[in-house]
Amino acid sequence: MYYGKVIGNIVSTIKVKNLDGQKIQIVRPIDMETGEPSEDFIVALDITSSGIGDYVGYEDGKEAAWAFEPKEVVTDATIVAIIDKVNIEKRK
Amino acid sequence: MVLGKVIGTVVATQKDPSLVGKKLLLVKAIDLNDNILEPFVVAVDAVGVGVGEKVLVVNGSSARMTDETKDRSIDSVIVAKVDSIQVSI
Repeated sequence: MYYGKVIGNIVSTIKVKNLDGQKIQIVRPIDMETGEPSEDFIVALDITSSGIGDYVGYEDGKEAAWAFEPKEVVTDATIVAIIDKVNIEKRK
Repeated sequence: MVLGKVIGTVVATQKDPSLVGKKLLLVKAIDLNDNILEPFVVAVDAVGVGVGEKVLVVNGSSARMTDETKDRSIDSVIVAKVDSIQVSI
């Protein structure tokens, strides 16, 4: 699972049938050490009900599609968690 | 998924039988300001888009999860035509 921040969303009417009803979010990956969002972004489906500004956990690759089991959904990135809090122990 | 823009078509006559009848499109990744980036893929079209349109591309083994691409030798598929993008941070 990767850590990111939702920065926007995408609307699409013409799409493959098994994407019907799915929310499409734009996520910026976040560096765990610094907490800074990167310049890059990915487009992900959402099984939580995250909104813009939320910190989320997302899966990529084939695992992203398993979040919708037993439904078959074509996706290689899915938001699977909304992150409340992150604790990182400081190294001595 | 990758946000991209269709920049051209690819024609292949000699190909795997599982690719017969599939439209191949050349897609370049774009950023949120519509700037075209360097990486590109050749993707199978599962929705019916044309050159110049903004699309979403699914890569890897997940690309075979549509009815159009099931059990075919495909690792990149266009799954949606983008209508609008809202970014607010």
